[in-house]
Parts: sequence; C-alpha cells; structure tokens
Amino acid sequence: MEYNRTQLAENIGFTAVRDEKFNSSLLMIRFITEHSETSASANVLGISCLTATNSRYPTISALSSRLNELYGASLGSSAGKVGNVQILRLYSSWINNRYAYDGEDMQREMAELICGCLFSPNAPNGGFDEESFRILKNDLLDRIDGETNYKYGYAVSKALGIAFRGEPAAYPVIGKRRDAEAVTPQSALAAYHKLLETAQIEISFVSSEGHEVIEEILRKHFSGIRRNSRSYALRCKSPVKEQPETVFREMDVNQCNMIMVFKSDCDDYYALSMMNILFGDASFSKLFLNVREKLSLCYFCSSSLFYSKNAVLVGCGTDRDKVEQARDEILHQLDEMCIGNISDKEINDTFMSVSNTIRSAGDTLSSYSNWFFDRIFYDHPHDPAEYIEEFRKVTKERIVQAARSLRLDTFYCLAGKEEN
Amino acid sequence: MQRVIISSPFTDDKVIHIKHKSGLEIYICEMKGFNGVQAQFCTKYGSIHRRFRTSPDEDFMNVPDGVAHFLEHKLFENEDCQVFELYAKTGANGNAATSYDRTYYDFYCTANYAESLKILLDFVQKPYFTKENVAKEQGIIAQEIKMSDDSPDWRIFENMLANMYHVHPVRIKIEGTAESIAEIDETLLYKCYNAFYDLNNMCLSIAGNVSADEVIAICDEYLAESSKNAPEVFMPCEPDEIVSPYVCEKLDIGEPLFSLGYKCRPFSSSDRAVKSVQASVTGCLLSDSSGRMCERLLSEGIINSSFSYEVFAGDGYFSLIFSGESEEPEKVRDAIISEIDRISSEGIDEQQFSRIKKTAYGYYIRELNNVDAVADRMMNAFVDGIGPFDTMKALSELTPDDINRFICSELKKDRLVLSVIERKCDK
Repeated sequence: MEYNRTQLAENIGFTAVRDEKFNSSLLMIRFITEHSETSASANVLGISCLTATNSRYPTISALSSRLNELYGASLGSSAGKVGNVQILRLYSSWINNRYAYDGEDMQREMAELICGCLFSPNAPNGGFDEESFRILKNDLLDRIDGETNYKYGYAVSKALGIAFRGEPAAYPVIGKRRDAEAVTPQSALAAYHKLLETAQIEISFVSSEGHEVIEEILRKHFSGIRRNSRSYALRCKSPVKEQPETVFREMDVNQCNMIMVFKSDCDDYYALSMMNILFGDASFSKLFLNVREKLSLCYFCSSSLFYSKNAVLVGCGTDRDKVEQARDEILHQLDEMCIGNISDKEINDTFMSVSNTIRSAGDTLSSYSNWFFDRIFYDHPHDPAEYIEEFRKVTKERIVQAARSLRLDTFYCLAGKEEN
Repeated sequence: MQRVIISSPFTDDKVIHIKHKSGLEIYICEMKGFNGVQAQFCTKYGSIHRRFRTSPDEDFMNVPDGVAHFLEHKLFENEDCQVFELYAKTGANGNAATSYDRTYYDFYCTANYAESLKILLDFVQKPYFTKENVAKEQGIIAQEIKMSDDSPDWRIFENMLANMYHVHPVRIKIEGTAESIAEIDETLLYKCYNAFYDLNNMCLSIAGNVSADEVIAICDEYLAESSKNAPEVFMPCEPDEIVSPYVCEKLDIGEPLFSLGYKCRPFSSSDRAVKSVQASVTGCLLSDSSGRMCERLLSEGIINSSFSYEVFAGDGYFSLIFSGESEEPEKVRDAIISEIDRISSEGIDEQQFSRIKKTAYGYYIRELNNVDAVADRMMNAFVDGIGPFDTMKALSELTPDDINRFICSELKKDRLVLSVIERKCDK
C-alpha cells in the first residue's frame, strides 16, 4: 500500500492510497462545515444537485446514461453529522481501465465528469436547474417524512435530539421539513458556493492505479476558486443534565424501542471504546449476555459510542411491560462494570474484537477512505499496528474509570399504545 | 477429492471447488492482499422446507412455521457455553441468518481464521437442545417477530408474497408467529436438524486471506463422513395465477410504500442463472433513471430515488419486483404495464440495452473487490446449483432478443401484485 498526502489549495487536503488488490477506484470529496438549522437542508440539496446533472449532461436521464456507459460508475452524495459538524460527501467509484472492454480511460473520463459536476453545474440563472431541483427537493422532503417508517432509527434520532438540545448536534442532519421547504434553486446554489469557499475540504482517492492524473485535474480546478475557510474539530462534549430527562411517546407499534443516552467527561478514548464494546457492542458483551440471553427480554440490546460527543447510546427493543425491567438490568450491568466486575477474559475478548475491526481497514475502498479521514481529525496513530498497541495498553482500571464517568442524561421510549 | 479450479471469464479471480469426502461442497477463494476472511457454513434449509421426509418409507411430516429460524438461534448454544464466547477468544465476528431457502452461519475475522473455522465447523455439527434452552429462546424470537412486524419493508414484502402465491410456502413469514413457535420443542428441532444438517445438503464458502490447503486440512479433521441423502421436500403444486392483484395495509408511518411484483414461472436451477440475469437486466432497464418511464415518473413526482427492483427466486418461485415510495402507487403500476406493452411491441432500445449491460458488468467486477460479496456469490451458486461465475457468463451472452422474449413470456399483467403500505393517519 502506498500513501500520499498533499494540499490542493487552501485547506483542501488530498489523500491518495494505492493498493494493487483493487479492481476499481473510489473518489470521495468531503465538505466539512458547521451544522445549523439555517443551512443543513440547503447544503444537502446543493450537493445532491451536483450529482444529478451538470451543464454537459443537463438532465438526470442524460447523466445517468453517461454513468451507465462508463460501466455503471456510481456517483452520489450523502450527508452526515459528527459532533456539531455537518459533513457533505460527494463520492464516485468506477472500474479500472484494464476491465473497460471498450478501451475507455476511466480515470480521466470520471475525473472530468466529476469536475464538470463540481465546477460546471447545470445552473443557468443563478440557481440550479428548476426541473432537477424540484425532483431532488421532493426526494429530500420524502426522506424527512419517512423518518417514522423506521422505528428504531426514529427513536434514536428523537433521543439524541433531547440529549443534545440547544446544540447543533440535536438538529436532524438533513434538516426539518419547514427548512427544506424554504430552499430554492438559488439558495441551494448559494449554499454550495459557500461550501466551496468556506468549508474544510478533504478529498481521498483509493485505487490500484496511480493518483497523478486525478490529482492534476482536481488541482487545476480547485486552485481556481476563492477560498476563505476554517478548520473544524469533530469533538465537542455535551453537558450532562442535572436530572435525566424521561420522554415516553406512543405510536401504533408492536415493540417498544427504548433508548438511553449516557454522557461522559472522560478523555481516555481507548478506555471509553473498550468499555463500550464490553458493555454492549459485541455478542459477548454484558448487555447481550444478560438482557438478551439470560433474561430473554429482547432480541437486541446494544450500545454504541458517539466519541465526538463523548456519549454512549444504549438501544433495546422489548415489550412495554418489560421496559422497566430491561432499564434496571442495563443500569445494573453498568454498575457491575463500575465496581470492577470485569474479568481478564472479558478484557482480552474486548481487545481481540477491537483488533479485528482495526485490521479490516483497507479491505474495501471506503474503509481506506474512512481510516485516513479519521486520522486527520483524531490524534490516532496512522499505522494500524500502533493503533492496536494503544488498545493493548488499556487496563481494567482505565475501563472502570470510563464506566464510572457515564451519567444517564436521557431516557426515551417509543412505545406501543396501551390496550384499553 | 478433486480440486476443480473455476476461473472468472473477465478477471483473474479463481475459485477452488471441492466435493469433500464428508459430502460437503467447499468453495474457496484465496484473495491476495486482503486481511479479512468471510466464511459461511450453509444448509439448504429455510422456511419453505416445512413438509418433508427422510426416507421413502415414511409419511411426509409438517412442521410449525419458523422452525428453520428457531433452529438457527439454538445452534449457538453448546452444552457448556455460548458459541459467541468461543468466537470472542479469536476476535471473530460470528452471526447467522435464515431466509426462505437457506440457513447459514458465518464469521468475519482478520486474524486466527483457522481457529474460527474450527469453531464454526464444530458447533454447527453439535446441536444441543433442551426443554429449558428452547423455552428461553421463545421470548427472544417473539421480540424479533415483533421487530419485523413493525418494519414496513418486511410487511409490504410478506403481504405481496401472500397475495402472489396460493400454496407455495414462500408465502409464509420466515420467523413464523408467536403461536407457531410456541409449538416447537427440542424433539422437533433434533428431527429437523438431522434431516437438513446433513453435509450432503451443505456447503462451506470461504473467501479472503486464506490458504486452500489449510482450509481443506481443517475440514478433513472436523467433518464427519456423511452417507445420508438429502431429505425429500414436498412442494405443493402452485398455479400460475396470483391470489389477488392488490393488497393494502395501514401502518403508523410517514411515507407510503409500494411493492409491485410480477409472478413469473419458476425455473429449474440450471435455467435460473440465465433467467435471473434476464430478469435483472429487465428490472434495471425499467427502473434506471436514464429510462423514459422513470424520467417521466420522477418529473411528475410519482416516484422518488427509492425506486428500485429485485429478482426474488428459489425452488418453485420466481418474481421480478419493483418497489419504492409513492403516494400514487397505482400510477406506477399503470406506467410499468404501459412500458412493458410498448417494449413488447417495439422491442427494446438497443443502445439502452448496451448501456445497462455495461452497468451490470461493472457491478459484477466491483463485487469481486469484497470478501463478503465473494463468499456470498459462492454460497448463492451452491444453493442455486450453478457455478460461481455462471451469472457473469450469462450476462456476457445476453442479447436484446433474450430480454424481449423474457418480457413477452414472463411479465403478464394478470400476474402482477401491487402491495401497498399506507399511512394510518393523515400527514
């Protein structure tokens, strides 16, 4: 594997990874910006308009046909939220030249097509093309409305909204309906232009082929834009409430989805990670073995670490009349960790699990991209072996301290309606 | 035991296939440069195998719905420990899944694969069912059933199958119901296990950072020779007609969904690879946003970007399904019927066909970059009774005429089921 990193322009990083085993390539462009009610939906629409048309392929159908000609190359966008920051992604992947049976120079074709989307969008009158914008805006509104289709995800979103109330992290990553409705072709284009000027931009290219061609094409385009950007930190702790807030909401569902959000003031990342895995993020975890396997209260009960907010989220699906028992058992298992009821075997199992995950970085194009992106924002070793060594050093005492740092902040339950 | 090397027609990828002396079929793909290993130990036993016998002298027996899935859960419990505790020592991430036509046990790891493979082969061959551990599982599975009942994606799919198939067991929910799983006991689980977990009915698919010699040596050590034959499964005679063209359920959701399935004739496993490719390219032609119909429906706000297709096929069932979100699913249905009528009379646009074929080719190529996908491909080939690269070969030989014939012969408007999930309350 070869790794190269350079700057294309002010605060525009370019990371290239070359690994011979791949038969395809991935280009990922991340725009990192502040997350706010006023810009979230406009940013999402701005980026999604870029991947639907451009001035050379001015309809969704035309651009889609061109991508089909290029062996079904993917071109898409997505939005994520890390801490209080919004990350807009434009990504594309395609097969390498040797598999292109009509002899296309795939890397050059795709680089030029993507640059066409970024720097020559279909925006004839100071706004994105009305027709494609209308389709994409409807799509966004449908996604917002569809949040309640998936009950667990909906419960998580509501619980995080309560836990981080008053902070940007509380706001939905794609915005709320009223904000999305207000976005126009002009304001979406303006939002994109603002991202180009002010966002921190991180580009990664992963391929078995060299990065020189794509770097040259991207540098030529990005160096021509005006930049006035700042850098962002992805970590931003959230203050814990004095008293945990409990919210009980009813819907017409068969199963209760209960969510508990804990917050921590611990800065020991490695201990927090190991604590979270042992608590509920593995099939040997205390929550899996006790809440599910021993008490048969649920099909799933797991935890996940939101390191950017120093929070741990526990989710569990159970019957309405068993919610209290499940909550008590979850808290009991946390207490067990706090009093040091952790065996050497459990610590070793946790270490093996985390090592397994770390070593998988580099087995897919996107995992390489994510790995090196995380290295830029977190002070973690670049070398997976060194990173694993940091976890090996974690002691039982450090895990106990991490467990003791957790404070329950929010309890949210999406429950079925009680029968009369 | 003979090692057969199967080569990909378009890439350098190779699969080693062995019919092991135990009866197990083994597929190995050594993927140079990858850290991970994905292993899948699979039996051709799923929710549709609900009436069977193990000897011609016996009567066929019916089992309660959800047994295959229940059995999958219970195999994770050994006499002295949970299987997950064994995997924890190696760092592997173990799991399992039951579908309509198979059950498989898998792990993913980036080190110690040999130890994890021994755990996998060992625990799947050592069932341990007791009255107590069966009773304990009822509560867990009852919650899993409730979870899937709250999923509109599952509800819409299951409703569609129930209105497409009269008697084929694919119309029944994989996990069964709270009532049906209450009928399951340890004796029944052993009976089903002994019938279907015969190595002659199973495969091991393993891809990634592995050595074929080492995998085979472990199989030699851990697999007991099996002389039995696969059970005889009774499949009822399914008519060509559908049950009902429309089904609607109201749920507490925000965005209405539809699923539109054509009931096609079932195909034998030897034909299924070719027919699946034909169905897949047809689905892509109709649902791709470069197509005229899709462009119009998007422009009119009748569909959104969730519009997609899938080919759903197995023993005795074959369907091409379009699904997505829409406030006006009947208009989507009418548009698809009209587009199929148009293609039937005019033939397909050869340029569009060529582009879609390139898209499918690119998808196949990229899939070979992923150890999970490669292991899946080999397992699917075993269940379908084809070679791991047969679908790529079928794609390369596909012509526009094949698609025209598939459309004319299989996509009949009187065999179309529209399944809809509407909002219980207004927006």
